[in-house]
Amino acid sequence: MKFTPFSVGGVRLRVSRLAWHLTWILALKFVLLTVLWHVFIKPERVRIDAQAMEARMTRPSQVSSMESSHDRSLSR
Amino acid sequence: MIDPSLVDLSRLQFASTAMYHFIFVPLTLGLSWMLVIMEAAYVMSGKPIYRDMTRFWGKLYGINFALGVTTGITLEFQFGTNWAYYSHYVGDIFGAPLAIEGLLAFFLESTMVGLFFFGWPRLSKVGHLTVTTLMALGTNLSAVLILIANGWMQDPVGAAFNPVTMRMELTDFAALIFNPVAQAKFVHTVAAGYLTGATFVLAISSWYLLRSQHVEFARRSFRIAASFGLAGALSVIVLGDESGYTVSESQKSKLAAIEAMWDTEEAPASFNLIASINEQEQRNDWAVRVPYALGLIATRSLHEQLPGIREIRAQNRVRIESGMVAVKALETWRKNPEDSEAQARFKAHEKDMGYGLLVKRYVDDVAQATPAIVDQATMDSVPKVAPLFWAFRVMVGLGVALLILFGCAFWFSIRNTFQRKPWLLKWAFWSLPLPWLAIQSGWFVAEYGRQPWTVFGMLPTHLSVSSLSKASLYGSMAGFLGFYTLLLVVEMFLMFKYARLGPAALQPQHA
Repeated sequence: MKFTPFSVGGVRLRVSRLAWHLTWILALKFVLLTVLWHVFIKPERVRIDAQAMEARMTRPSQVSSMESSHDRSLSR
Repeated sequence: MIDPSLVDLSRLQFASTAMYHFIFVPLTLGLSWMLVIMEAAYVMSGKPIYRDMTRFWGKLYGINFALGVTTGITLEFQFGTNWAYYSHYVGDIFGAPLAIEGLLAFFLESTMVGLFFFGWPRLSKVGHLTVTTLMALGTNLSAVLILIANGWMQDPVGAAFNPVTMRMELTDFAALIFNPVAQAKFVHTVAAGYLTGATFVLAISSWYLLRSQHVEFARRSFRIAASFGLAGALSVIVLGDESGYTVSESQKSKLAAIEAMWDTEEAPASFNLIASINEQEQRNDWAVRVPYALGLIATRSLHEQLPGIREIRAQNRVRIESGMVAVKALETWRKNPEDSEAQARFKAHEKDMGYGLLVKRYVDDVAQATPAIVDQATMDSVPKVAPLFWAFRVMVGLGVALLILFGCAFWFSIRNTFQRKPWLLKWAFWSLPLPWLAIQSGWFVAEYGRQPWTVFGMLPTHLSVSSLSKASLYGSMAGFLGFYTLLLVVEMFLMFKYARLGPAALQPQHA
């Protein structure tokens, strides 16, 4: 097995090349997923609470085919 | 009121993505156990051909698994994006099995998939067989948890409505897990998956034998597929009967629609083999009937009566009127939590609240519902008959056709003459798409038959959708269509490539 030396806090470590590659791939994947989450998913967050559910089930609904104010987060 | 086209688009999107995902799942379910059988034969006999069989069919399994995972993830997101009200209302219950599936079953399955492919040179024979077995267990565990969630939508047990949080809450976890509807669905669905896996191996092995390629490899694969497939075909029929029995107990409207039974008959009811359905006049213009069959199959008794669609609608009308009282009482009670009269009125009619919500498809305020609206909601309370009637018959017909195929394949396998029967090999090869058609029909029966509910008797479909714009739904549909078509092309390309290569696909240059 091939080893790649690197240092953390002045301590010199030897890890296998495979472990080194896997660490990099996981780190990249984490960054990519975080970016995708913030760009595409977070702004689309749907927020439903008891009042929104009540509005749909009981009171005459104001919901139209357009987005209503209560089921989209205000952060959009 | 919710825009009906918004509801239809959301349903179409979920149905198409779920049915697409279910192209891959049954093959994974069936092929995983066939890999266990092949590898067990390798461990016991020490013959390298069984190892090659495990690796080759395992390669096709891996292609299918990767694409199945990709298409499954979008479904989980859709619960939040497209069905936000549904997720709020039942997330407490529905989310539990889904979370366990992700964290327990899928993690087990995907970890073992990695070890299966990369563990050959590193693990002992028994160690690798253990990995393959755990991979198959993970796959099936995944199915049981998904079907527990789906079974709860068909028969919502172990839960109660909380008027403070306006959502259903779990009251009995064991009831959720051991829901008879879910258990019956699980065994029926996985048996259908086993049949799919067996048909896949049988068809490709037949193709090799017809071309006299990889003969020894194909003969052994054919034999294993014939035995496993016969067991799968018999199981799917017997367990399908069990699934039908649970439907007769929990979803009488679905059963009546599947059987086009408009009027209540004297027990035991006859079975409509085929019929000309006249939805407008609520009758069958003509029908070929098998006396007593439906009553015996669905109730397992000579005396228990099955209600017809007219009787079910009449009962539902009463429940809708009672449910409307519950909805109004809930509204009053939430405005004034001290109003004990409203609370008592709500409690008295609570079990019918879901039915009262059916009128909200036509009117915002249930108090404004006219008798004509109540009539319309009553009509909606039973799904359309013709699509269910025919989808069910397609499923059963194909299941019986596959039973006959596997009966023949097994018979000629034990006589060791199957390789000299080109008609059998051609029949097996051309049967390749049949289990997928049967399975998709089965899912259609299960899900369309639950309409107009997302959670049977509790939450109507039209109240479950998010308030998205139609443009965003059309946009995401176009995205899914493009991406999924690309995935299907990739799947087909890889499957054809490696199936054509046969065991030669195991050579390093094709790794």
